[in-house]
Amino acid sequence: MNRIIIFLLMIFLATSLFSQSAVDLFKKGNEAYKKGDYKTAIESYEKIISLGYESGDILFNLGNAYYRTGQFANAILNYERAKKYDTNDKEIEHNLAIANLRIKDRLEKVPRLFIFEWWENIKNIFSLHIYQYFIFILFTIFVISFALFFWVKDVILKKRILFVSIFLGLVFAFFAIAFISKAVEHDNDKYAILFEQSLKVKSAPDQNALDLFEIHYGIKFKIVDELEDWCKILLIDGKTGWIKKNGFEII
Amino acid sequence: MKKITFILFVLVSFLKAQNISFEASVDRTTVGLGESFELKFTIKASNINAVRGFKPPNLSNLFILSGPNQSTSMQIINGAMSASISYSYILQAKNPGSLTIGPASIFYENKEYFTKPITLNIVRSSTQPKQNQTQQNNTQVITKDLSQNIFLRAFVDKQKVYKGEQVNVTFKLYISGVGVSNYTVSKTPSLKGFWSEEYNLGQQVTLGTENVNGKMYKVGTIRKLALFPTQAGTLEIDPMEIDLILQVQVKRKRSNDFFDQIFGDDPFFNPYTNIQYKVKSIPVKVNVTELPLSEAPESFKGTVGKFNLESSISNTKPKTNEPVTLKLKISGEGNIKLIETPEVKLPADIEKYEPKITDNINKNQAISGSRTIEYLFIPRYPGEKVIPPIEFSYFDLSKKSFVTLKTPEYKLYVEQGSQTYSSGATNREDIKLINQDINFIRLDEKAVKLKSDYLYKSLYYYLLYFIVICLFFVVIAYRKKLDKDLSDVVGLKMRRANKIAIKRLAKAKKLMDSSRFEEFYKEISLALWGYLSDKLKIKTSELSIDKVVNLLYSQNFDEEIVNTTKKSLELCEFARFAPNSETQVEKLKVYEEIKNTIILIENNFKKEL
Repeated sequence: MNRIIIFLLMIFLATSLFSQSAVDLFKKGNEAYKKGDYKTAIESYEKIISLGYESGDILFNLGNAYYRTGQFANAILNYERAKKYDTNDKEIEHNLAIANLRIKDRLEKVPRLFIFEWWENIKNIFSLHIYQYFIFILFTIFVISFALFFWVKDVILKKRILFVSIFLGLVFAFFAIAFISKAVEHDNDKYAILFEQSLKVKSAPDQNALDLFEIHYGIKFKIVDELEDWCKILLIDGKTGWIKKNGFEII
Repeated sequence: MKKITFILFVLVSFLKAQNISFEASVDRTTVGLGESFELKFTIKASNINAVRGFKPPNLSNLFILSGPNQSTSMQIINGAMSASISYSYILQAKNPGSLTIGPASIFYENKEYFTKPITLNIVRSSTQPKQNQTQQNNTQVITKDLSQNIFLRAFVDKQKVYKGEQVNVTFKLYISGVGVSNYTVSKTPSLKGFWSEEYNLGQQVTLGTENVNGKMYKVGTIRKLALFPTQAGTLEIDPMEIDLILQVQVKRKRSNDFFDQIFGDDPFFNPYTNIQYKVKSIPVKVNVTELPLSEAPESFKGTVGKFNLESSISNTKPKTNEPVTLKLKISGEGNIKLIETPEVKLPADIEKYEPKITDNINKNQAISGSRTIEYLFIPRYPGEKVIPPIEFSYFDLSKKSFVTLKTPEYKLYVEQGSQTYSSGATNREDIKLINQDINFIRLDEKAVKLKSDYLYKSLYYYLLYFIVICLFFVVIAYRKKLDKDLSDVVGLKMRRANKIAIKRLAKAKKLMDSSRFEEFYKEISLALWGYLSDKLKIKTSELSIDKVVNLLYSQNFDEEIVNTTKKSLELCEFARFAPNSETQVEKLKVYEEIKNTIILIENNFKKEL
């Protein structure tokens, strides 16, 4: 028992020490950024992340520092990563849009049926982190209402509580489906940012295959399939093709 | 020529003549210092094609003015052919004294032949031209004199200028006593460090006269350039070279000929020859001073001269998507072509296009003219838009200071037009964004958080749900138990109702016996009401006769029993309000009746259970 306490204490101390140096690094990075020394800022923020820290704000700052040094692919990559923590953050969206203007490729999103857009928006109300708590809270409320239904003896009140309870149950089910689909998407869908200046996209996973189109530095694409050292990519405008597995970074 | 040599070859090989002569000769053996003379090597051979490898003697102590000039001649006399090759040099002695020209050599049919050395006597002065001058030699002399009679000069109007100030450079050709039949500029100055603008002088060179060092010259301006130095320091204007074809009078040797004596000096009778002659100007230096740039305003872009600024706007009340032109006219003296287009700082929602530039340049005394800059822009959104003043600065040479000119501030009142902008919504969004910058970084230290994996991936997350569900069942179970306990309390009451009623009836009997009627009625009615309350599981306070009747009916009691109960209850009520109205017997009857009713109900309950 004593040993366990000492062990836990040590872990606590170690993490708090680390956390102190991470906070210092964060401050150092911010100061460097303010002074315009973006290289030092990048180093500091990258160091924090290498220590095992990560948050939307750190990634956002890192993206900004990369943007200032003209490394737009890196900037886009970090903004996209920040978006995973802070979904629907206006500042991140804005900076991402500006960084996307600095790269060569301009893609038009494929228009979809409004209901899919709507469903997409529901999925993106919260980040996955917040979503999981949200779903749990919804579930708890639903169970409480159901328990209340059993508790109350008065017939009329019981009836009313039953309606509320059913409604809450449906809301829970709806968001649970959204959450599950988002989680599945998160675990299975791979997006990447291209770091190569330009890359020819082939029609098949073969060096001699036909060149379909060319993509440039900083473009975002989805990896839909993989085969040996090739992967099939999907652009947001719906184009697909095969590229070799290098020169890009998974978001 | 080839044909001839071929024929020659055939002939010569036919004759198989072996004789050859190789001689060196000079036109005179006594030469004045600075005078030119001719050295000639003549080869006469029957088979001229066999002559190979002419090697001239060492001529390092002589100036070679021309040569070796090769000539070939052929003679056929009485069927005997002779051909000759000659190599001639025009030479000039370097030093006075005796000079020996060494032997020259050739190969002829694998044999080497040499000339005899020639000894020359170089004398210091030769004021007296030699009598036996050849015609060719005459030309040579004339060429030497020409440098006095024809030359090219470059003039600059200013020696010391500011960077960007105009300097005029004129190339003038001076001619005296010779005719020029043609000229071509063979080398134009490269003018490093200058921006140049050429004056238009017309096709024909007009000649004037000028006196240089007491000698009259005809002067023609070949070229006039306006130069604008683009760098400070001492800049050099490279020489210009002109190839001329001159008509030169050849002086004939004086003879005792009658005609010569009469017409000897008359140029009309002297023949002319065309000779080529090259003239070159002397490099000219210009000292360029840097402008006092520390005093320069921000809008100064290197323009020097004297300028005016005019501006006009096509429309101040445009509709959206209607183009507006802002015209800027910069006119004056200076290098118009080097004026940089001043920048217009427009509001972000006005689209700006590349300005259109038109120049109008006069090349008279100084380069002057005007540059018109037309800025085209299209307001995309309605509202009041301000075009801030456009600034244009230049360095005024007469004031020796910088001058800044400004246009007035223009205000546009943009009205909403009906025309829609067709180039696509996304583009417009792009343009809007381009004028924006990224948001600033976040400074809150709370941002430093450990990277956490998603909770839903761990078992604990689902354990939470499990706990909630368990709690739910605990709550349900608790409710059930409470319900059960409650029902037990009621059941107990019901079971004990009979006993309480009996107790109360017994008490009532005692009260009746001791003639305390008021208390008797109270007790007896309490016994009945209390019994009914416990049995029917309703509170005493909620009881009324009607309610009891209804409840009894709902519990399927016989009408008889219900009526009896109703009667007894009414009796109780009546007796309570009039306790002393009945006799002892009647009171006993009431007691018995109520007791019976309780027993009746009790029995019926038991039946049901």
